[in-house]
Amino acid sequence: MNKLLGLLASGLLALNMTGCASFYVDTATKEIPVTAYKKPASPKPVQLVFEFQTKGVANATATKYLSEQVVEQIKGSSLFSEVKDAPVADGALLSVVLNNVPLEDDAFGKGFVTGLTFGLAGSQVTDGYVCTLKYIPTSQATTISKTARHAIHTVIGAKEDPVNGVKMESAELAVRTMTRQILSTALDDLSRDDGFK
Amino acid sequence: MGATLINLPKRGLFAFASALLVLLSGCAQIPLGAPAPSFDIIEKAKASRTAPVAVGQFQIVPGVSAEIDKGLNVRSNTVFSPIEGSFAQYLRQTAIADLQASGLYDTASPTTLTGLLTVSSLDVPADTGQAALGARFVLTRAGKTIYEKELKANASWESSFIGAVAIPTGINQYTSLYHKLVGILLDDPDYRSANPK
Repeated sequence: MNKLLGLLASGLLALNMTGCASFYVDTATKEIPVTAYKKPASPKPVQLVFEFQTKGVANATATKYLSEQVVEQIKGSSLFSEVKDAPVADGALLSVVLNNVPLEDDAFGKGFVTGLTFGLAGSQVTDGYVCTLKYIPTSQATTISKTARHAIHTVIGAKEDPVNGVKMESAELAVRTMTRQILSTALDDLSRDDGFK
Repeated sequence: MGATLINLPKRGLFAFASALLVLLSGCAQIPLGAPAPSFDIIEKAKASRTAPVAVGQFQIVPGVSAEIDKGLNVRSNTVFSPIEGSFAQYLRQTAIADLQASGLYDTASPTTLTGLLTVSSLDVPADTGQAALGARFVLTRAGKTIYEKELKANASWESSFIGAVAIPTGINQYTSLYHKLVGILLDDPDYRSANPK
């Protein structure tokens, strides 16, 4: 229930309440394999802080829900020698913020109309996601910032599939797939920054 | 696990969602998400140039109803702390999480931070939501009080008449006040001068 409310807070599950909803991960942002990252010559340890936000406000439940996945993905990136939740020797710090920005604030209203027409009047809403990485190589160094964007489309009722989306079996799979893809894009961008060594 | 619930077939999901809708408009017990460190507060902490502290007891201020520590009524639902059912303990854990991630938490420090919860409120009407959190922070060293001040954090936001939207938003806004309050403490010039590095 706790985790479910985390998703609810992200806006997706609220749409489920209006009836049959299908979830599509946008095709514009694709997963970049770890092998494509530009690996540093000598990876360093880093302290990782992850936060999921809903409209820019921290969402503690959703943060906990996705935290393990984010930590494991960064550990598996080979960009760092060690990923810890406590300060590390050189003070390297990586912040990952995944902000859910509903692109259409009237999403619930749309779904409500679909529900009133028993699904005959279908509708589509899109949740936007912005992943911001902030990396501070040492305590005195300049912050490197990278941003990636993604989206999940939700179709409610009788409406054709979005052409720019891959259908997912569940809301959870959509969120986890989106998270993996957007984070890989931001990590790849970080790995190519001249300040990332 | 939320995954189990989310992977329900659509018909089942609809039934569950309907039940959830009832829950959200009825009398659910909703815990806050577990405290996790905030990047913004880590940056504040590092800029504060203060010494590490131990964190002692947190409780409600004497004379205030114990009810403010136990739960918040949000549209007939009860929001509560996952830590000992106490918002004072939630504030203590938030402070520990932020200070620990900043390298400013030391159980062996001669300086101890304690706190008394003075204000805890969350109001989620259909128009403007409001939340407030306050605490009297006390810093002691060798039995002597070197800092004592009541600090408050507030938030207001555009709410919604739909509970499934308004309640999670209100919970996120309220929860974010815990980090905000710790940040206000670390920003306080009196705290900084009382506990320099």
